[in-house]
Amino acid sequence: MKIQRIAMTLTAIVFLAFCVCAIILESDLYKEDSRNTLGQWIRTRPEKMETELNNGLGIRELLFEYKGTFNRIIDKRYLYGIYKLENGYLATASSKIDLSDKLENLTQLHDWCGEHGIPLLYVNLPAKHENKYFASYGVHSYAGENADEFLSALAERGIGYLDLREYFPAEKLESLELFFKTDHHWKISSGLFTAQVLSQYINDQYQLGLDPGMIADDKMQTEYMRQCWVGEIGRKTSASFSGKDDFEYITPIDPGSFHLMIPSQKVDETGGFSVMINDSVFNDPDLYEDSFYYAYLFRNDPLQIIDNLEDRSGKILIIKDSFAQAVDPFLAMTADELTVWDVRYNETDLRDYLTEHPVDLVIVMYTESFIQSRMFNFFHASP
Amino acid sequence: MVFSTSSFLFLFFPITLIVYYLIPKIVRNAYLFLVSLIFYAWGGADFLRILLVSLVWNYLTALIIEKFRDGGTGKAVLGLTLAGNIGILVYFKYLRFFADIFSSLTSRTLSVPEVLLPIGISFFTFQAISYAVEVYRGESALKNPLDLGMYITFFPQLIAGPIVRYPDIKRYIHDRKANLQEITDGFERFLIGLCKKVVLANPLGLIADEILSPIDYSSDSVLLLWIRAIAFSLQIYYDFSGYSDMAIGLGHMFGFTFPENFIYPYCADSIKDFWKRWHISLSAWFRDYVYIPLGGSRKGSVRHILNLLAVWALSGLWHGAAWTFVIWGLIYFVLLSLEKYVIKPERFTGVIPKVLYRVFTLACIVCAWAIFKTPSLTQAREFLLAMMGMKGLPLCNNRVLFVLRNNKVLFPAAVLFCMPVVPYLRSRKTPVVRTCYYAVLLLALLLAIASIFLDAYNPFLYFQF
Repeated sequence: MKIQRIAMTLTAIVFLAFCVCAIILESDLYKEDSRNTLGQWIRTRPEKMETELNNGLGIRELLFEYKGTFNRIIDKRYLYGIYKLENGYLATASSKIDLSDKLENLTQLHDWCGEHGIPLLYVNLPAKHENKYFASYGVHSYAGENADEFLSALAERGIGYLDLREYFPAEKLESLELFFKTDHHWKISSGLFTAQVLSQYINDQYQLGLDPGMIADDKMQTEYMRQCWVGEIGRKTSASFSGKDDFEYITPIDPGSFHLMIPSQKVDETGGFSVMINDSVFNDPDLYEDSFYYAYLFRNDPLQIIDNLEDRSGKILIIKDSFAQAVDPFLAMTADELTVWDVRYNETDLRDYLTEHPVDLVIVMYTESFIQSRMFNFFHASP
Repeated sequence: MVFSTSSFLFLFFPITLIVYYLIPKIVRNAYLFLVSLIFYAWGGADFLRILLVSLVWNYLTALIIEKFRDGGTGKAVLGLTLAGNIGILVYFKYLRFFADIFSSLTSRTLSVPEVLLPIGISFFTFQAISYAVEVYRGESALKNPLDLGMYITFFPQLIAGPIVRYPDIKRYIHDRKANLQEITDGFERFLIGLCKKVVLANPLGLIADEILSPIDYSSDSVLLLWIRAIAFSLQIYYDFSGYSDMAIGLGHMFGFTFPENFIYPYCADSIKDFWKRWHISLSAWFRDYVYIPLGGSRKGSVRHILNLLAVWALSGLWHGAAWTFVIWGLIYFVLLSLEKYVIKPERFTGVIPKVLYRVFTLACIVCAWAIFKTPSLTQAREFLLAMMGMKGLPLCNNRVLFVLRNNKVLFPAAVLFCMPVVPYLRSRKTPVVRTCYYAVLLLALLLAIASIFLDAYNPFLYFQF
């Protein structure tokens, strides 16, 4: 009985402490809510109180880590739709998708570009959602198959493509070391490699006169940060479950000179390579707020224009997903101008923009696991 | 409002309990009635009207029944009371179901209003019926409407039972107390129930919910389907018994002793034994107010079987307005009839026949739960055929191994606590054992609280009744 009394008394004290905190929290929230009368405020309680308490009692992160630790101890391999693969990497499985509307939209864009003398290139990027990584779990992930089917259809329609899966060393793809463990994105070094391959390919196929030599490995410097951040997938499972990732902060030895414009953020800056970097995230980062990956080119904006102020040639418009964050700063070093277009957030008709701002090449660059309808909504108006 | 939420655990519950013991005894019933109404209204104030109408109806008719009990008038008013209660239940819960039956039989469409199902209507209606029948049978009607209001709406058992029959609770309405030990025991019982619900039932539900997937089992295996069905069997047990534990624990803290609702049903050695252990309050209700009044087993085997048919059809229907629930109830009718007249497991001697019959019992229960879970009879049939290996699925695949691996703590724990492990540990006098028991309980409680704060997935299965 004594042990029971001690245990229950301690628990009751904790409940009472939470009760007091909850009363204080609710009364503070009521005082802050100047719009409603008490009656109106009470009527909102069933809908809002639960979320307010869960977020406002100040222990959510502690509980999150506790639960993550428990899940790690019991070797959970599937949580919140996320798989922890055999090598500890976190990934999600991709479903089979109907590619017809995406093909249709891309073909329309390709044909329009062709009518206006602009070549179009589709670039397929690897992801860690390929079926082979999930096979032992009895889960079928269709990312690779979706991409294979898509690229095959592009070939039939005469649309040029570049499959980066064929360029990365096979053992690096197998081991997933191209990617972050706790984030669905790839490492900055993978983005740099892609920019190297892409710039050379562009020169070979389209003779735009890019300067791939500017981003050769010996022109780069790397600062290694160990166990310093938790990626987006890891944040959903907790740092104690997923662990942390290392980060390679890669910058060119010669910073160059760029003019960066991000109209939606009223950014209009001139400077070296660092103008494309948000290095403030490296200082005292918040594990659940700051993404080291998005230190490169800040975020997914509707439109970013990177004007290389040094003597370069080639104007490229790249329609991209977030994997391009690690590619575009380096690609911009090789070209005259890089326009970065994100269809998810840019609701204007791409054709209107291209009519007013002609380019030498349009690239559609998507990760194989991210071939979704909204990524191919290039026109946002009737085609 | 649900017990496994922050607003209940850290605001409603502690404030309600503390204020209860600070106010004079004479106003405690009124106080409990008031907080129970707040508890109920939290889930939808619109439903409060229905609850209050039911209360007023049963209060007034019970007084009339008591006054005219000995004549035909009393019986007639009882009939009227039951019609009113059943009428409310039929209107809100079964109208669409009966309209669909009418349409399929007559090929004519019957237009019925779209109504939302009031939370807990099956529970508080059955309690009200119990009250009216017991008053007719000789109990005194409650003169104070607040007392009746407290009995029917008392928040621990209002929305998901146990169905507390009037004779089981009447002594506590005006005379109850709880000393510190009883409050402590009640609190511990509540915490055990909370852990059952959140730590065991909710994660099992994530596996079980895949039973609701479309009828395409091409990537499944026979074992995987059994795992899902077993997961649902465990989920519904921990979900419902956990809620009952919380209700009983809460009641205890306020001085009420509710009857047990679950006694380790998966330890049953026969279907009959299972129903002596599962949702005991519902079985007792049907026994006292349907089965025995129909004659029970006292009027010959044919009448007995018909009575069983009535009870189990109604029991299935009570769970939901869908054919899957009715079929689920009728399956138990068939099994119980077979046990009574054909199998007669009480004749078995020797360990092996008894063990085999236990396995058979559990297999029947799991298959019945699979029907209970599926949204349609067609899907139920497909699921069962696939479970029996009649859909050409492989016996096992990587997915099975992965599910077992991913739940290598959950499944053994869920199976273990189907047995009376907790009472055994609690009864140990050894300080080390007791300390370990409470340490595990508190760690599980912390996990439950973490899940409540973090997870969006917090279904409660018997809420829909």
